[in-house]
Amino acid sequence: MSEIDNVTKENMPDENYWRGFNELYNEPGFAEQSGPEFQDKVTDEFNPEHLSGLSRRKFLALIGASAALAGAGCSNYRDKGDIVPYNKKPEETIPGEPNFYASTCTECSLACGLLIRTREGRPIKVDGNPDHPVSKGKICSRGQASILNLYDPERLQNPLKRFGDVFNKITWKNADTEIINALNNTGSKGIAVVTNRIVSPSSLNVINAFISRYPTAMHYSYELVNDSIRQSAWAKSGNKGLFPLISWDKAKIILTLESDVLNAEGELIETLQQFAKNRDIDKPDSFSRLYAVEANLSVTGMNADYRIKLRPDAISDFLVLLNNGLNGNTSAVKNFADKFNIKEKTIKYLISDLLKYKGQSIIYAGDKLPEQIHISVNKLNDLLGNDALYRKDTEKVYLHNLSTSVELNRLINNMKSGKIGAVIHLDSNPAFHFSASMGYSEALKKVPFVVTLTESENETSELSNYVLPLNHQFESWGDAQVRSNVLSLQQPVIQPIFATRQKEAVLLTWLSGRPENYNETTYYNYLMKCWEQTYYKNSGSEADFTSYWNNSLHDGVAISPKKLSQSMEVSVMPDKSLPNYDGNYILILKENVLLGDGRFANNGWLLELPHPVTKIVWDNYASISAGAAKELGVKNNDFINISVNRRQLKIPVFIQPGCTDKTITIELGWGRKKVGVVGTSAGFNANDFINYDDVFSPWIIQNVSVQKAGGSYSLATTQEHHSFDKEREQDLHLKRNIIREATVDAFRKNPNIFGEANGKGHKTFYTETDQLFSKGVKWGMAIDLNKCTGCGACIVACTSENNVPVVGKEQVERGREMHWIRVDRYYSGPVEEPKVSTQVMLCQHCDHAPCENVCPVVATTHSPDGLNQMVYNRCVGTRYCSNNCPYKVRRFNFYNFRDKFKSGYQQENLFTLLYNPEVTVRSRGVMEKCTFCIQRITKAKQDATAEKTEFKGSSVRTACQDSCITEAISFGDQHDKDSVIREKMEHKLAYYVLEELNIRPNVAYMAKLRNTRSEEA
Amino acid sequence: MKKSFIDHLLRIRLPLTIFTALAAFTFTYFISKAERDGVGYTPDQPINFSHKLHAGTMKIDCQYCHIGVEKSRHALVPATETCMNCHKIARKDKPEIKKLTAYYEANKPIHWKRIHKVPDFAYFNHSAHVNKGIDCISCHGDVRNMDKIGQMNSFTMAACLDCHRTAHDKLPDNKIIKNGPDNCYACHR
Amino acid sequence: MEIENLFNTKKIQRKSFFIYSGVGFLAVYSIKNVFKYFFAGNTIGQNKNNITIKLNPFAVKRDKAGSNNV
Repeated sequence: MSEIDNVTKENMPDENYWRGFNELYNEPGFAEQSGPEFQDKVTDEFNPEHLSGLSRRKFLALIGASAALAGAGCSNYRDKGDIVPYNKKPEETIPGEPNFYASTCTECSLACGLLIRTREGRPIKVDGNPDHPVSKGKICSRGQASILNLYDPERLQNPLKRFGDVFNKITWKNADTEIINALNNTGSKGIAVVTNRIVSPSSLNVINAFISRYPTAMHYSYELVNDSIRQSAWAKSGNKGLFPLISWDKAKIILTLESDVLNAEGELIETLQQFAKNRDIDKPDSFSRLYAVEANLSVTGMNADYRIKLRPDAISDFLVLLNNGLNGNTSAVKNFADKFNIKEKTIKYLISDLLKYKGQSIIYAGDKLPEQIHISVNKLNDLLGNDALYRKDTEKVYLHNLSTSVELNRLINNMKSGKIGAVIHLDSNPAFHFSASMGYSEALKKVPFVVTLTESENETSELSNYVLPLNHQFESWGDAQVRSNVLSLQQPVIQPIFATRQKEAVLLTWLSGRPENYNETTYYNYLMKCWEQTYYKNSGSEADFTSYWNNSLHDGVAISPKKLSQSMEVSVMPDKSLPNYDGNYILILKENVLLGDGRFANNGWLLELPHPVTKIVWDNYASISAGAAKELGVKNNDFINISVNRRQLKIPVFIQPGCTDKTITIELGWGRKKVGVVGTSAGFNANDFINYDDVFSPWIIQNVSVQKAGGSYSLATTQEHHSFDKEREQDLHLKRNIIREATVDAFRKNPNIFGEANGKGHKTFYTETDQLFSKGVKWGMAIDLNKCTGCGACIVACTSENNVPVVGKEQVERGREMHWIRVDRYYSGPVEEPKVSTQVMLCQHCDHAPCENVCPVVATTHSPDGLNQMVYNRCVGTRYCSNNCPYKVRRFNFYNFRDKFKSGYQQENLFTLLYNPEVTVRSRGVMEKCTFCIQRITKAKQDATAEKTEFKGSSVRTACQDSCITEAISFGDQHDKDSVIREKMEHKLAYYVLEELNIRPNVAYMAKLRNTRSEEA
Repeated sequence: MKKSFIDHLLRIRLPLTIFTALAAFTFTYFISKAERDGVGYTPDQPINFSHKLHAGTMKIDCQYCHIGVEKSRHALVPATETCMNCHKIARKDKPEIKKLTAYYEANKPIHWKRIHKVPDFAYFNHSAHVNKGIDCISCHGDVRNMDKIGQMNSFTMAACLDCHRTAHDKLPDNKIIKNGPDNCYACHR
Repeated sequence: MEIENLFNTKKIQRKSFFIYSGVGFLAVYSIKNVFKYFFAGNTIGQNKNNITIKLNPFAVKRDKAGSNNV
């Protein structure tokens, strides 16, 4: 109040602008207050004199300058790293050169010979052993993929012991000591040793020694799908010994009954090679004729000349019909054909063919069919004189019999009632393989002491007290009784990478009672001793044992002039009466053509290998017919519920053309629960349905009830489901001449069935290219569609050789699978009875390649020897080239799948040892495709230069060519007049796919000749 | 005032700056080419091995130590064991040999500094070249007179192609040589 | 007027310039030489693969590929 009163016009400092009364009235203290920079009390927290002299602007300028200079001075750009030689070089390795070792595959009981290529001491590729007289240098796709199990980062690396619910590592010494103690203290309780079929005589010796050491011990063995029924039927047909092997190459007529003999059953490799001998387009008169009787489409059915769709429980009636027909009475044929909806004339052809080619045909019943059918088939074969095809020169040998279901059930009961003190699983997985209704897992929980020896964790090891890691087959010694006069040897090509041991060596250590007795050569010495005492003595060899041994190891086999051993007495099954056909749903459990009995469930290559028939990856499914699907009201990928007795399964559906109505086919060996990260949730476990007490067959279950269950699943397939009802797409492959087919009779009458259209006659703008490729080597490939069965072994071999990544299920659903070679499968004809054609498709290395012209950075060019070159370091990932490729064989790395798939599974330290060092490992953003194995071509050229010989095209074999079991793929120099490839490419049946585009591919296909009767045209 | 300054800036300063920058860059690029390609790179090695002594004075053949050169894609640096063949006895009290023996006894490989390296995406094949009679000197320089091994020639693709395309001129004494391949797959798989 | 001001920056003090750029150089140089050991696929770094591969002394190798002529 008083301040305002004192203000007059004279003492008002600035009458225009004042911000407060203090300023206006020039209060004392105001001037000092507005003078300094900081208000009172503000500088209590800091001292303005001590602020840094560096302003913000100065700071930024200095930082910028120093960063620029630091960057300039910083790079040691000339440093090229280190080069690190050996300290002591092993004598047999030259870094850069591969070594080859012969060995044996022990992933199934066929024991094919292996030739393993190693680089710098580690195996990188598996092929067949050419010196092996049975498999003759070929192995199946599972053998090719087995190398992935060696480099599986989830392999067991240490012995484990269970503490409560957790497994902890223990040392071998402790494990051995504790186990020996436990075994010695089982007292009167039994010890069970559970294995799969043992094919190694030395292994069996060790097991027998173990059994005799512990009087309460017993050896039990089983296989998921086995041929015990065939064995028993053979014995009941009045024969001695094991059933005979069959000379398929002497058969002009083959009738298979519910048997996938070309892809899953029997002596697979040998059968395929013999079968292919009679599908030779240069000898059309010797073509065989294959009749396949089956319920669901299989590889055998795909390659059959005539396919008869028939349920397994109608086969016995069919055989009666055949028997009558062979005796001249064909009156019932029409009724039968009408009842089962098959063509009457097919059956009549079959009967007349069997009569015409008596003694040159074979009727073969599948492993899963009941005993009476086998006995009938044996009788029919005898009647027709087909026993001429039973091989006399060699025999198959089973060293021991598998346990019968009675014995196994007794074991389970004993386990439940506490009579078993210890169970040892020697590389077997009964908790997964046995049907859950048998109750093995529950019984196992009652056993106080369970040891599982296995390569990687599985359902059985989860229930065990001790889990002991085993060597992979490439780290193991062993042998295998392949035939009565052929013994195959297994040698390790690498020392065990982890603390694993061989199962025989483990048993031997336990037998000796002292864990310190184990050393790395325990089993090696034992094996040598076995050989010295038996095979060496019996072989009559004049060399000393060491030379004999080294020679056998070098060759991988020992062939003896006489029989070395014989099969045991076969166990005969009890008689059962055969049930009749009843028209209800029937369930067929099929062996798994991709994963074996489930042991490869963590193998990315096999999981991603498209199924030969359905092209589905990463899953199994229930195959049903279109009619059954309509009846159940399901579409593809819908779930159905299958139940019989107390077993049931919910599984997605796949509508399979060519399937009989009311038949469901499911592959076994899928749906493992305890498996590595790759195989988790792959497929559905149908093992529960196996029922050894079933009236029909353990693997064919009658009277199942099926309903639609809710929901659907997504099945990933590499090929779109074939469309049968759209007129534009139906039979497109025939209209566009992608597949060309003819019959044998038509070809015999007129070899020139395809006329002049061989792709050479078209006019072209690019005349220079014809001269460009006229000199020197020109690579070409010919694929014989008569011999190709569509098995897919070439796909796995190419993946192995060329470091092709696994992409996983979601990426396959988007069409991003990275296979450089694929097998396309085409249907023609009606949905119920389609004709199937398969074709292998890979980069055709076209002379006028449409991909080369459009690359904006010229990353793909053409070499003077006819190859289409893909240069990864130049590619920027435009993808124009794959857009232009009419065959769609170029694969793009949408991700670096090596770090995307399962969080970098393929980049683990152990996995990277698998890569072929001669092939670039591609990263994200580059295009890749088949290179015709340029690394093998270059190596062959290098060898020719070193040996100063002329380079010949026949010295190069591509990976797919090496792996094709039937030698359907030929490769070589087209300009070489004596080469096989030249002959094939100039063959009358040779054609090119999409010839009309005039891009001049260099892969010729030999048209498929079906050996149907000429009346069919 | 403003207008003429900007004008002066754009018509004189800017082109001058750009020209100076470009000239400096081009000049430096070409002058430094050899060094950037690695020519003259002679680093220190963990053990002071002298090729002049071994290959020159003592006339030990290149292939006695570098054994892979005729058989494999890689030329290979010898294993320590090869050195110990002689040096178990020869001059074993000299400090460098003592270092060598220490590595050998401790079973540790020697990390030599690598000098001649072609990038990983080019797959060079030694045996194909050596078996055609091409001498080591053509690419690696006069090693027999090098106390410390260094890179004497450029290892760029241009240098390789230069010899591939004019093989007869570069190697006049070689009777069996032909022009090497110059398609991509010859080196880039 | 505004453009003129842009080119009228203060001169950087020479001494601090050299000190800071020297420190920056040392910092980046040492960090890079430490980080190189952590980058995958770097040939300059040390080998991270701690798996030992040994040959089996008793295995017998074959001479060459062996012909696959069936």
